[in-house]
Amino acid sequence: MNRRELFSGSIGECAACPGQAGAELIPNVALRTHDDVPVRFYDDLVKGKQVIINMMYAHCEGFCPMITSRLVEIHEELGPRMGRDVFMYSITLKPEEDDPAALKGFAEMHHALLPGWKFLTGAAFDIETLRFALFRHDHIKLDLDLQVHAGRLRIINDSINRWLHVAPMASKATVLQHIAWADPPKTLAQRMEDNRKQQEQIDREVERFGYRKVI
Amino acid sequence: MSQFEADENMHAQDPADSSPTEGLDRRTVLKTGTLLGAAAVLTSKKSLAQSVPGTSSPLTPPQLCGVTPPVSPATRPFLDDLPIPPPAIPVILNPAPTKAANTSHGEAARASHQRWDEFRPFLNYRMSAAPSLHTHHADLLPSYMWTFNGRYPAPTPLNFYGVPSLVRFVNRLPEPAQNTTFGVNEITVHLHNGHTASESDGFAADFFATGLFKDNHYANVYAGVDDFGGIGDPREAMHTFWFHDHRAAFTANNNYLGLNGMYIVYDSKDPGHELPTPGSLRLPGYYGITDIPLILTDKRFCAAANGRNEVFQVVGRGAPGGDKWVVNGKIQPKFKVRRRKYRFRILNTGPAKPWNLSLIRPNGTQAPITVVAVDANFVASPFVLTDRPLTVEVAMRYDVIIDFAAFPAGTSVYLKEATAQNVGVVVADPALGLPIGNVLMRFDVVNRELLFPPDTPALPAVLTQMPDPIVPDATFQWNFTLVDGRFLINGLEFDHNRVDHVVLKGSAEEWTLANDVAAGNWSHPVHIHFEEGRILSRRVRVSQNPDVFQDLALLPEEQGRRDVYPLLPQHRVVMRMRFRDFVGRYLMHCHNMNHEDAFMMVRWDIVDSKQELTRRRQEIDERRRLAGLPPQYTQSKNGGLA
Amino acid sequence: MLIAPAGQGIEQGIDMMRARSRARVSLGGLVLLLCLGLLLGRSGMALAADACEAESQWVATQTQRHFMVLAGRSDVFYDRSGPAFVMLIKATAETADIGAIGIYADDVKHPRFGAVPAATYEEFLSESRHAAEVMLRLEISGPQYERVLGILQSWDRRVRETALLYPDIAMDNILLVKQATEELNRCGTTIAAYALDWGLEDEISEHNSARRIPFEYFKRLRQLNESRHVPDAAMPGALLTASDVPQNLPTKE
Repeated sequence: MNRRELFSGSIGECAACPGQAGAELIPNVALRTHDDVPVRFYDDLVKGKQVIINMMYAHCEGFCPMITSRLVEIHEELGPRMGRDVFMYSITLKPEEDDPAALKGFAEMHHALLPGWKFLTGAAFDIETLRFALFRHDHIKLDLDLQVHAGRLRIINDSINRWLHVAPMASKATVLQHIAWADPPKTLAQRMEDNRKQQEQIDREVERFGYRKVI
Repeated sequence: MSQFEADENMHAQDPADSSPTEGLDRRTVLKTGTLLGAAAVLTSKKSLAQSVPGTSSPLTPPQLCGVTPPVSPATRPFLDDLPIPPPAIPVILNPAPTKAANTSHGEAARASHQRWDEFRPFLNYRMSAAPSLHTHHADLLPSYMWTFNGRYPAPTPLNFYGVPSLVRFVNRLPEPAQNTTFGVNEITVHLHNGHTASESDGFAADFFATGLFKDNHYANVYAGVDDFGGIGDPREAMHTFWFHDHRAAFTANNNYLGLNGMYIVYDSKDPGHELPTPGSLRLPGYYGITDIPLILTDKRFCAAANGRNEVFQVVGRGAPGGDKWVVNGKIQPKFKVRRRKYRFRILNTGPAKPWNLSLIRPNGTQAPITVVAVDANFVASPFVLTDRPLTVEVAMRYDVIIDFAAFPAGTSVYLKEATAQNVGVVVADPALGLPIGNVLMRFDVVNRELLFPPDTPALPAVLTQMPDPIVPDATFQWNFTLVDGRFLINGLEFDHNRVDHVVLKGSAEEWTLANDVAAGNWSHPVHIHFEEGRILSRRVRVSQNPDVFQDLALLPEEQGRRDVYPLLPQHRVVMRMRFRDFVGRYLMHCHNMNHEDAFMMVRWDIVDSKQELTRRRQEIDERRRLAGLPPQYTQSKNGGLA
Repeated sequence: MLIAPAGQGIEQGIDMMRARSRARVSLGGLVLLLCLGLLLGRSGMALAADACEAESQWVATQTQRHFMVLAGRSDVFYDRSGPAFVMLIKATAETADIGAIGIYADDVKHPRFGAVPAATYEEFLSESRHAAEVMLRLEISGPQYERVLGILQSWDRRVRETALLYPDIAMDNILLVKQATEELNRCGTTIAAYALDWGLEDEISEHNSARRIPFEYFKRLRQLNESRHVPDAAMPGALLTASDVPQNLPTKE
């Protein structure tokens, strides 16, 4: 009887692989924006940039609109940085349902058609690759639950290889602070100055309340 | 060579150090060195050149090995002797520590040290965080790590109750442009589980970047200073602490790279020697001789490249699970022990793996291990583990006594870990039924030499009195849930800028920790900063709608004082604790560092006036009301919010 | 869909399937994936209905048989785990398409994830009574075979394109075996299932390390489905032994 092999790929230890960084970790999958523009996720959207990524889907009710409206607030706070050195990407969890037009509709409905913010869809295989690469919990039940992966924001600054996430419904100040934790590093002089200013704020708060409360 | 010349030489070696701060490490240490003579000056200079390479002789950052976890290279067992982290040497700090933050000289911004005048630091230490190389095994090439004072684990500060100390943590970690690791060059160091003022407790968001430093003031007092006076209630004594980076979102990474060490505090009961001084329990007590730290972690290594076996890590991912078990920085070390009692301070530094340890004789049977302290607290009476392993979750400490007189000279006994590591060489089972992969380290038993300290007396039946039972002023519940994909604690996401609960200094509360996430494989060692607690009960939910719980018996290690509470799926742990002597911001979090970095953390504050308490609780409830959540506090009879 | 529509001749159907299985991932796999919508909600009741209709209309024949084998061994790697994989066999009189994806041991006894080499899966062509091994062999329908094939092809693609879902191959394997086995019950109960979902009732995942979970899962499924297991006696003889040199299907990038 003739035997024919069905499969061929295999992965194991990687003895002399090149070093890390976004190119290896962030899938460079082909996606389409809400304007139906084809893009490569890493090369075109993330490489060398500071980005905020979340997942949603067009027919999501409840927490997706809530998170999107929080992102609109953040977008406003970040002002001129948006589209210049900070970018937002909302990726669909349901690529079979959400074509670019559906995403555009969602964005319009939630006032999220803003500079530096793209809504993205693509092949199911690729979206799944992205979803796990960015939002994985290393727990089967949690990772198969789309809602769980919609519940966090991913913050990446590819130029300094910094990856963070934040709960989108934490306070606006905290979300902005986490985004700032991915900002490019400052010089020592700037740090000393920021430090001095923070000390002033702390001193004021302690004088007023007797304790550090918010600062 | 005069000290002055030496200073000039040191400075000339370090032109890149442009820090306006206290970049005077070498000069100050040399000052101390001259007390011991010129030879010491030369020695210390040389060793510093190796151990402070961050700026003077920059180490090349590691070339990492891809995204797929590799199988670590083979390492033959029992080649290395168990290293003992040396005692940290007190130094004279320059600039001298001050009550208020010395921001103009580069100290990170903070509130002023509470009770500074009461507990002026007497011993000062410097812990400088910088890259260094560490070799984990004779068969491995060095690995690039981030360490304190150039060694992993860090040197161990040895302290005394009643002798306040201060540790200056200096950040000399590389900037992102020179960093290929997944570490982040911002640190905030927490002493686990010190009774520490909030500004010195390493709050997760109080990190400082390269070029700055931070003084942590450790009063080295027992809890209960206000109630008892003096240095507090001796029944609150704790002895085995550890310090580690606690930077929000990157704790796992920075700890995996090596930023941690042990910290010991002695008192009259546990004096750090074995002489019959008044009050001493006469436990094995000579640090490094009969009182041995066992600092545990797991690591994975890349194949050799560029003269190194780098630790496997992937930027953007949490700390990886290891396939090599590491004790005091070495893989499968051996340790010569004399036929007498020894004390081992077992510490799990994470990032995530729990240990299940037992002592195995050559014939494969389990030998007894006597537990004397849990999470740094003496148990009321020692208890012996004979037929079950000792489970050490992340951040737990166990002080155990092993009596090697029970074994013949010339034999070896093995510390077994239930999960096998990847040794990589085929080795016969060292003991009957004990595969080599399950061996953490080997003890080689010899007869005691004449000059080696003789055995200590039999362990006392009573080690300590527990403090008075805690009478709570209020109860509180922390519910860990997962709703709509959001991980919530009491209905809200973790937000370090937001207080989730506030308590009154001097009060006591009963807290229920409830793991309500409906998932298996969801176990969390929950750690509460600042004070130890007593577990009252542990229950597990056996059905929902209606909620039915079943009580579980408390293990001996749960009956005393502790600060890490394992929270298994659907478990509820009820515990009590007090909030004494200091005020400020404190944390509670899962100590699986990958979880800690994600969302499982809570901020709770201590205030010292009833007005402030009421005002804050009102603020909390108002915020909850606006978020559509029920209030956390109810009106109590006397009008305040309880 | 790669299903011979009812009414066409069996021979034509086989030819179509052979041709399509050669086309494999690039076209066929993608079509399958889009049709199945794997993890992401399997959108479209219509598409699911298609698959189940095809399954209900499928007629078993003597000339073509399909098998799915869950195979594993313990105590091979340092952590007491071992190979664990899903194997598919489609056999006609002349040809057998065989392949397996999962974790296997490479030549230095390190675990690898991906297409299991013939030398390994051939050890599981016939049963063993070894306690350290587990094997559940199920005869499945043509449509089921194609659907599981699509799942395995998707993982094969993930391996070749280095697009694994988890960096830890043990976790990828858990997901693979879960998806492949649960696919059988899409249109009705084919096997007695165990919910490997890391939920509260899932004690296999609670009490075993990730690397051992597939093995223990297969053991449980074997226990639950003893009556459905196809013993050696009921298998085509030629399939029970290692063949000569197997010919690879042409790979398409």
